[in-house]
Amino acid sequence: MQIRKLKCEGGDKMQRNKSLSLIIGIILITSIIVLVAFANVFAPYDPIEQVPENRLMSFSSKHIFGTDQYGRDIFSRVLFGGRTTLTTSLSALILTVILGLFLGMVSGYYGGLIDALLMRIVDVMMAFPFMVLALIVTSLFGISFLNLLITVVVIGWVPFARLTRSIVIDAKENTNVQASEILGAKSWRIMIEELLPQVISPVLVMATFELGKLMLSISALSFFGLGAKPPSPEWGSMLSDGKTFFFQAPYIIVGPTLAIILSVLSLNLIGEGLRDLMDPYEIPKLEDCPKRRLLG
Amino acid sequence: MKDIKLRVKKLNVEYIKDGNSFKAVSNISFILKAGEVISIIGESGSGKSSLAKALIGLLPVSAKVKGEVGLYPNFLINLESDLKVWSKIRGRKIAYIFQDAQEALNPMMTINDHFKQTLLNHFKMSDTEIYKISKEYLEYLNFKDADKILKSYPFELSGGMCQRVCIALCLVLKPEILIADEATSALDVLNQMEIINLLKKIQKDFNLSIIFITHDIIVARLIADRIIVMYNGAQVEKGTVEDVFKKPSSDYTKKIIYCNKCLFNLKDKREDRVLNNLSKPLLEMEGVNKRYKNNGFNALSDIGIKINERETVGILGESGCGKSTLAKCIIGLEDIDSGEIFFDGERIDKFRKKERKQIYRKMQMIFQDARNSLNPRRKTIELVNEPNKYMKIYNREDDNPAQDILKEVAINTIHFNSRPPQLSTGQCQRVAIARALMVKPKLLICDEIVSALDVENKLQILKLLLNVRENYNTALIMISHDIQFLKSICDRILIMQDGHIVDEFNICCEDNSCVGKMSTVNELLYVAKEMESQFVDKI
Repeated sequence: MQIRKLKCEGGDKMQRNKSLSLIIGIILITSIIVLVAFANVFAPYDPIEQVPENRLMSFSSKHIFGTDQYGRDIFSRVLFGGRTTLTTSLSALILTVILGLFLGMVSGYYGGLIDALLMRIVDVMMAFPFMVLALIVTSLFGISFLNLLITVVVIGWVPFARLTRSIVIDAKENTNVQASEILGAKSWRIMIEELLPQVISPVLVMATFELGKLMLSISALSFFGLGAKPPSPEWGSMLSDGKTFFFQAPYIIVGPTLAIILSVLSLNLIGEGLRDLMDPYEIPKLEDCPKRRLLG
Repeated sequence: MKDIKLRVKKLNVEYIKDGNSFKAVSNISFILKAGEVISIIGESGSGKSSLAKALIGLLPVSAKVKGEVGLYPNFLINLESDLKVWSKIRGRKIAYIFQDAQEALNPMMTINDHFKQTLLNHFKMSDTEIYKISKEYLEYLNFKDADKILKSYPFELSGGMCQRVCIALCLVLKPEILIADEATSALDVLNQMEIINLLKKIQKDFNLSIIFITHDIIVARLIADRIIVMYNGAQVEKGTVEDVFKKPSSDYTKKIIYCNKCLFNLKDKREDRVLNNLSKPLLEMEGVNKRYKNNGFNALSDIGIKINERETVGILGESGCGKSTLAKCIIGLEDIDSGEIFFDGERIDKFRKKERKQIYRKMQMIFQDARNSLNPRRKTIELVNEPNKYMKIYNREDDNPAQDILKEVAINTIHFNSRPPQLSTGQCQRVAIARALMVKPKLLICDEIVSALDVENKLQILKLLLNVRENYNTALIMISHDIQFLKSICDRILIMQDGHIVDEFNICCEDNSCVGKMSTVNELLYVAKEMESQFVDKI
């Protein structure tokens, strides 16, 4: 990144802390992805093989996260389950964010009829129960990964669009937007170059929050058979299964919970780090930098 | 010793944020005598407001205050005391007037409610008593119809009226010291002069000590007995008005006095400029009306303007009089409701977005807030090249004058690759001007472009604009609330009030003939001249 190059070589303490959060986030998410992608190498057991004599065991050196009600190793299930959960939730998140950003931006920037129309759709979507929509999609289009994505995206874009629209309406009165307008910039250029940078950081923050919600709603969809089908593992459904045995063996939800927390946390750290990195006002002034130590 | 009202000894203010500390005020000491006006001068960011706020305990929690502040007689203020202690000092001992009076008043309350609130906080009084006292004070502060004012809400009054109401609210509590924090900065010359005269009057009548904070050394010259000059939080000069203006000791004071002198002298050179009255009209507006739909506010009513090629026209008015809306309507950022706008022989008010782009090649605008008008992620050279990127003005790279224009506006080559956050406000404004010059505009609209700048930068921008006018044959529309600034550059000044153009004044004619019927201009110019002559005499 060019902006980074401009930063002082020494940098102050605050600056280092901010890059640190980004680095930790990236390390965390990469290790999670590596563990999940090569689950067949790292998992000590078969995730679906049932061993009734081992059921509901606590943490041990053999079973790091214990075993579930069918005696399956939870650690192995978390690793394999990550494949479904991370691919569905991350791809759903990316799609919702892109759709929400696009519609919110168009709605806020152009205003008028487009805005009125889109906002009525938003109203309808907000009043529409998620589960009912899921049922409709399942019954109409059948069960598939694509349908799961469609269901989640159709509902998920709404908060992003609303957030984006409200920021854009505010920001389009700013001098930088007006200045670009009178310099003859095309609408798409203004949206991408002037408005998007202002929208992106609150949207990133919202996205990290929404990711946790998405993981849980995907597990709820598994209930309709839209998500992962038993016995194949998935973090959300592992949590809801664990609910039943929570009083007998509370430790069985530790594994999937930890997995969800760590992946959401890592994205949070990345989001925060990116936001600070992208903030142009974080660049120190030329005269504030130590002599001749300016890079780039 | 008896007449000492306030003693400040080694006052330090430090802001602590995220573990980093920033010293806003360092080691300021002074004594304020009864009936004396001390003016604290400094550019924005020099720590003058922090100093004032420390004296009345209004600093945010992140600020650490050290030092000694003593009120007569022998009453030491604990600078970190709580609200209970402060509420006995605030209002009764020390009163404070803010820069933006309209914002300092509560929009949900009438002026009478403000008086009620203020008085009941300190005394037990009946409603009729309060009404009587408030009316008395308002009349003392030159309000003709005090009954009507008491029933109005702050937004129904003008900026100058609100400032007078604020002064009245301070006076009813009979304070010993009054702190005026940039109290006249947002006002036009006429209101500025009225407030200054009022402050002088109350200082005499109430034997009030005033700490007058300003960035404008002319205003300070008019009101103060003694002056403290602050720079970067430290005191660089202290003394009586005569001493400071006649024998300034610090380089900074010398510099600001020199710059102000230059501003006045600039005008004399301008008189060589012969304006060709026969030159073609460039912009014509007829019967233009604009009403904001959301609040029904009539921003412009029946505006008629004619601007010739190469002419410089000033638009003068208080904040909120519609001058910025006028600029936006001309360039097309706002649509007009009715009327006609002709530019360079074409009618432009009905233009759609695509057609408008052709106008942007001939007409450009520079904003007050230069820093925000530049994309903070781009390098200076990219910013200046923006018009070319968007409108494809120069086909060949060799023709591109971006670098030459940047040099012309005195941006150093080492800043070509800097981004706006790394530039000073003055540099940002010059980059914005350079960007507008890329299209070689026939008309350049400048919306309050110097009001955020200190006098040194102001002078630099002004000289730059004079060069631009000569080199590019550009007509300029200068929008400002500052008549001195307009006088030094404009050929004509139009005066706006509540969305109307009320008067027009031709500066080039020496006989000072007023085109309009009202005497506003004469009065304004008289006041400006008076301020000027008082200032120049003393240097």
